[in-house]
Amino acid sequence: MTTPPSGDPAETLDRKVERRQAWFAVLSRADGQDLTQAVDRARDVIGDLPEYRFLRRPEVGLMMMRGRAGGRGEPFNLGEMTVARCSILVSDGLANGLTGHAYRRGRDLQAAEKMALMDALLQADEHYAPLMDAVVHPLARSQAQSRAERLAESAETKVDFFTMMRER
Amino acid sequence: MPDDLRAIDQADLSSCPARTDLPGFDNPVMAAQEVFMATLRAFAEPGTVQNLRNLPKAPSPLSPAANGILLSLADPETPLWLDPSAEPLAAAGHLRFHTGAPLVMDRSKATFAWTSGDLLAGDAETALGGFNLGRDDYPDQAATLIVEVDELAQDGPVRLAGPGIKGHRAVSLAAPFITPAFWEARALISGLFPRGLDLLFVQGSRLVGLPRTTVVEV
Repeated sequence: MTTPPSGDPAETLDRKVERRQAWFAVLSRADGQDLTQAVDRARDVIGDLPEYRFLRRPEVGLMMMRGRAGGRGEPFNLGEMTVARCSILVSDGLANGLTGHAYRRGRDLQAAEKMALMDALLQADEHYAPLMDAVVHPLARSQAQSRAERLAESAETKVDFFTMMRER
Repeated sequence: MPDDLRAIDQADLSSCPARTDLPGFDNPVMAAQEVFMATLRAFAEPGTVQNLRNLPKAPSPLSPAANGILLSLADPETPLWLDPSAEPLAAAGHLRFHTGAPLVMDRSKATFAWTSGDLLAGDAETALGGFNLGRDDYPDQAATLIVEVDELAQDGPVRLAGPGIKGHRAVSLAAPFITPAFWEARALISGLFPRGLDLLFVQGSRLVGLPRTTVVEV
């Protein structure tokens, strides 16, 4: 599941962006408690977490969510959502100088801070593989499992409109 | 300055990514209100020197005061113009990150403009020209120009009069470009009232406001 970074300087930017999007999606969906446990596991595999300072302290705000509707998919404002965000800059260790960001649904400021730190550390090639295994993959698995459970629950009440039309 | 900013074309800051290695205000809500109040006082009482406290470290080449003012006032709806002759790349990435304001290369499109003064050292009339002066029916849309100066003090050779000033107020504004020609160029723009250009002179953590209504005698 994990393709390790090649360490090749010519590795495309697209590939890096893709990898970051993958862990960002998992970390931002993880709830605060799961994230705290994940950070503890991170400490087990990479040792003490590095020092960092805030570029943007954890803060809560509103973001307008947009959706698309109608035959031509025109955008409309669906509604505002509470979002917690944070940005940090790591100031020592292997990830020195890397910037980490977090944008999360809800108002859990501590979770936003933890996620920003994980985002920064995952960008360091030396940390990538151990952190993916210790932090991101377990979270991804539990998210996939709860999604599968929800889908199974709603599948029981699913109505197949296509079949109904054929039988009429 | 973050590494990925170095690859950006200095000549076109409008594509500058939002990157910085400096924090914004420690306490954004309170600090931005403090700077806003100081700026308001600077314009309400032209020529008084306002001191800004608790300013964060500013990216090159902005002064802490200019950085603080832009962090407080700029947002995604206020296009920024940064004097390209001062190589403002680090400042551009910083302001993009913290304020979300778009950067423009065409100064006539800017709501807030900043110059180190190099721009004004040449022909003062063309240097002050080209900014948005608002319209007769919407004079509030005019740009505000933030200008870095070398020295800024109460009392001095520049005599000010007009709204917000009882009688006269004296102020000292020193920079290579502050010459009689500079004041003449400003007086020409003042003749277009209610259109006009509001100036904020900054040095270190201090500022002096010169709204379009103030009359300058040197």
